[in-house]
Amino acid sequence: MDDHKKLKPRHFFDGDAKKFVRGKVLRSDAGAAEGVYDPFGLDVETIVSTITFLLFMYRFYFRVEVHGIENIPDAGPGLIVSNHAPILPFDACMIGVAALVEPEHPRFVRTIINKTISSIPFASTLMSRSGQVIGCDENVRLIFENKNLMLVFPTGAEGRVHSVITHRYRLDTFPVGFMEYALRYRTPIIPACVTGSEESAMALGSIPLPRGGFRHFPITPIFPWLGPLGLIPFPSKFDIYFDPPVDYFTEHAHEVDNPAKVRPLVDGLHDRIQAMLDGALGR
Amino acid sequence: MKVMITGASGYFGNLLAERLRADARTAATVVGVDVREKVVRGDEKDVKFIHGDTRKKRIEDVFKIEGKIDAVVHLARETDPALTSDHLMITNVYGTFHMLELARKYGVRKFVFPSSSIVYGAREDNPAMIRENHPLLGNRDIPAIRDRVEADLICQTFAHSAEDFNIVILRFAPIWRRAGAGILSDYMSGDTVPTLLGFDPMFQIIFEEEVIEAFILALANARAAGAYNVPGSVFMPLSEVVRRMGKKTLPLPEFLVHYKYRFFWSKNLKFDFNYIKYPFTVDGSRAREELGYRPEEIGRERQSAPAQQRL
Repeated sequence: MDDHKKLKPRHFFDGDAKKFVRGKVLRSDAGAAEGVYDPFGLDVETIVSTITFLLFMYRFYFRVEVHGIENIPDAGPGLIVSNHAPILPFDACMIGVAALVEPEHPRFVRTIINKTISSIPFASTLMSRSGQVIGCDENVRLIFENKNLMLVFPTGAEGRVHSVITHRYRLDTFPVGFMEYALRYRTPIIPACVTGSEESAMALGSIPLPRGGFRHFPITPIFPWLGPLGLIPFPSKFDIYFDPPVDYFTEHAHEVDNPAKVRPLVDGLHDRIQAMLDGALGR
Repeated sequence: MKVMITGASGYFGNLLAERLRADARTAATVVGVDVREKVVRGDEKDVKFIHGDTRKKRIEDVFKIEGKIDAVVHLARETDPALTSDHLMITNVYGTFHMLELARKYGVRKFVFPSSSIVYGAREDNPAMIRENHPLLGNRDIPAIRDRVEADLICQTFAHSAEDFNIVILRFAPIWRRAGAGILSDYMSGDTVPTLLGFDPMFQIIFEEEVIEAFILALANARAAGAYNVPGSVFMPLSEVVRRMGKKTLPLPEFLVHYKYRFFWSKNLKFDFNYIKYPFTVDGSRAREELGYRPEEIGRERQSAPAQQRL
């Protein structure tokens, strides 16, 4: 079986889906082998189980539709830049699953995560075993040297707290860091956007926390009122859009150390992704 | 090649004296210096042993009597937590400084200092593979770690202080020793090993054969200079390390393991708990390229050894 669309719900219980995911992971560029850990701690067993669960969500819960999957390159490094919805990162998971199961050549996406996650019990272990990466220069260099795909959410932790439901699909200003990496390591940028993610967890507001990387405690119609159950997302329909890769580095690689020159590029990309979002939402 | 080993009565001092003479790449005449009595091990009776203290001025006489010494391997170090922090600092930091000064004064060409990957510190934003230029952010609150960081920094400041004076800093991953005490062996001494609930960082372990090999390569390679990360052949999550040793993990919630609450296992944990919470795994590509250090090839002869020794 090589098409995930043929998978029926029962396949997720009799092991066929797991076999399908295992085949995709081993054929992908994750650099994974059974029983061997990669530098980031990626473990095949963990990602196969995690992605099988996420594929179920992808197919039957969020009913993801992908537009422009041909824009994911068959090989070589790439930097996917997308919008991000608050609370749990299901948008990141769905982009990762899409890049693995949809194209002919499966790609394994490494998401840049907030360093605070590494001090949260269980989450830190899960992120490490599934090959997700804390954003710092050495890690980014390693990803691009291995010619992997990297996913960043430039609005990140700060942007998420502002993206309450009244502010949905409005991007905050991007920082310049990711564009500097793209220029320094000569990597094309793939603009992407996800719709439906904001409705799956409707953040009504947040309470500022005194310390730590997550400086805000989110409030939704069901969280924290229902406890951990309140973190279950609503089954809204996801749409993922990929635009053709944009090559910034041939023209601008020499400007990498000049933030004043990088800033307009970042703002241009911001406007482009905002336009993609507006187009996708029809507003 | 004439090699002076300080701390020669210690575990690695003994092992190294034996191997440096036997190995064709170094074929060294060894002068061992230690404050303790000489410990004879195996057939290395013709290692010259001198009673001396790296902290004392008198140690200079060794250089005067022995004539031309080509290399110094500075292993002398104290880690006993029962000693005062000040005492440890004098031995570990001042002792290193003193030996560096003497080595420079008497035209020693190479100074090999064993450091550790713990000098980088275990922090939440650590890269997955720490390179040699990463800042040394080890926890200064713990005297043993503080001294290693300081001694490492002192070695770096001496780096270009004289013509043809090469300082090699070998930053070893946690060392698994067959016998005797070490931070890692102490931590994993019991049948159950306490870990932090929900944390399972990637962990590196280096075996003593690999440590000795790194020393030999550092001495044999004339151009070796600067800091080298020396990871071992083991790279896996902490829980799997424990499991492969035939032991069980005892995952405890972090607030229980916090230093205020450590009761009965405090003897086993002389280090910062961040070292079992966050990864401090190092990138050994510099040692691989410049020294030709290949841990996976050294490990082969260990395959038949008992399970506990080979993981």
